[in-house]
Amino acid sequence: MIETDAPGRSVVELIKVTKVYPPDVVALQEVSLSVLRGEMLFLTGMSGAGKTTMLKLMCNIESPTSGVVEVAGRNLARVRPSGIQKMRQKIGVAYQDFRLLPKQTALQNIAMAMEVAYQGRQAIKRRAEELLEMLGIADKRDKLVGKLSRGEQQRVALARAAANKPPLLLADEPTGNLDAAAAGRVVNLFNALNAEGSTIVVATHDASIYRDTNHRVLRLVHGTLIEPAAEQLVDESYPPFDYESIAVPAQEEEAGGTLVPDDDGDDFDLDRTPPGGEESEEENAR
Amino acid sequence: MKQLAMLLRQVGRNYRQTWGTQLMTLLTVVLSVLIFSFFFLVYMNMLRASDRLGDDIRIIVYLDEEPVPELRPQIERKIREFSEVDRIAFVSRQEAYNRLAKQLGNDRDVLADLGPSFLPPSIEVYPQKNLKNLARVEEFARYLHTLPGAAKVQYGHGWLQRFSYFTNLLQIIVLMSGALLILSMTFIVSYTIRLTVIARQEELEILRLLGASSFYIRGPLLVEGILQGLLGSGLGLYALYLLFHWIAQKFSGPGLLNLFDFRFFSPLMMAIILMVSVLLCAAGTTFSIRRFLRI
Repeated sequence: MIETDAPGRSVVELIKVTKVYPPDVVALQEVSLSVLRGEMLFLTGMSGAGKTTMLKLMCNIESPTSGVVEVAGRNLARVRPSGIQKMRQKIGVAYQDFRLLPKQTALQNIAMAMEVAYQGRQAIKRRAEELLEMLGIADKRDKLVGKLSRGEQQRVALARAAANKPPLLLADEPTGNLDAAAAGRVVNLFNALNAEGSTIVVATHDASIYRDTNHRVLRLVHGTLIEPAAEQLVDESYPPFDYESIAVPAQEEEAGGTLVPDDDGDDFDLDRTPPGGEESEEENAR
Repeated sequence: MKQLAMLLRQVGRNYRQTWGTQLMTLLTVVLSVLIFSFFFLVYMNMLRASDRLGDDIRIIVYLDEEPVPELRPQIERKIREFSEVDRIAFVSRQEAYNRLAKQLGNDRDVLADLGPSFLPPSIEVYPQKNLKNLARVEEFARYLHTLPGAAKVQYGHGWLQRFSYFTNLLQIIVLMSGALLILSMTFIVSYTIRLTVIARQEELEILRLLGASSFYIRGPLLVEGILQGLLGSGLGLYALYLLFHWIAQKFSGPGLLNLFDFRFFSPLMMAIILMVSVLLCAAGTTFSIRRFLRI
């Protein structure tokens, strides 16, 4: 478990993680990765490379076939359901398929995330309006999500993920349906959150959002992580993933062991750490 | 405090979204409570009336001949062998004649030519107040019939039997309406919660992904069930109270109902009915949550 808020310690740790979907589709193969506290990380790769699977493993929507996934130093395979629930409150996730409620308004969808964290009514309204404004859809506040365009829905999903100013934000193809201007707003939101101390992992194949970045960029190829050279960051012409050629039989619970809850309680040390450490965090809070 | 406010907000929101189903459930609970408590109220009052009638039970043993004074202690001892005897009174022919004459009042002339000899002597047996079981009274009457010189035993057998049958019938109706109450409350409330869960499956799944606690997801459903029980039974009892008053006003004055001294439930009994209703609805809700809420 991470005991200090010092930047540089890993928030998410994947240790030799393999994920095989039945019957024998290998999405990730012995992937190891550390996401450092306060960092912004871009995961790139072709469709089907395993980006979404990796994000799902990080928020425990999927479990690894083998290997260990740790969040804030805790092996997720050994955390109780109540602990997972508390962890999810600290992780904002923008899903590729949005996971919004079409019969509720944009504001209500964003409010859901904050209500779950028992935020006050006024705070919810203020934050939701702020995010809608930042993402350029303030006028869609009271529109039913089902009536919004894909791009607008995507931004509502992002706003919901960012609503609680989560210590860890996972975004899956956050600009997939957006034009350049809207994508720029999304990047600005990520930068603002990151500057306040949020750790951000973005899975994308949109080179425009990471091409000129100073942040770490990793590429997933055939379920394996590589750190591409700078010139490769603009090259998305990797060959399509041939699942047939690398069929690996599933080995359930090989490294994860039995799912026995550990004794560390339900708390996750997942606080936001802005550049400058704890003092800056306190200043932000003020 | 924040959690409570959020809980109530969620309950209110869900009521707005599913008000049609909630209203139908509420009406079902109200009707169930009304039906059950109506019969229960009648039954309780009949029991009270039966108690009062039991207090007035008197068994008269008519004798062939008036027992000589020496024989009386023996007869009395024999009667008292039946343990539930309060007191015994010997009524001679003359005393019976005097009573009849008193009852006839101004018409006592009709007895002028008749002497007391045409009336049989009798023994009046007053059982203890705990002797209310009809079968036991009958057993006692049969025993008294075996006394030496006993010609006839009278105790309003037919009336008591009909009253007892009626009370038994009411008991069965109360039990059946009680079963109806249990079934309707647990099943209907459980079914409503099930519908709510199914209708909100997508939302509940998203809530789970957002890290909603078990209390956050289950709490409002449980509160909805409890509110159904509380509101339903409260309204059901209030409807019964109005009905009770209407009957009391319409049928006031001399009549059969006045004999029974009808009374409404005591506050304690109302509290028990409310509490049982709430518990039944909570049980139905809990069942549905456990069975259908897969989060």
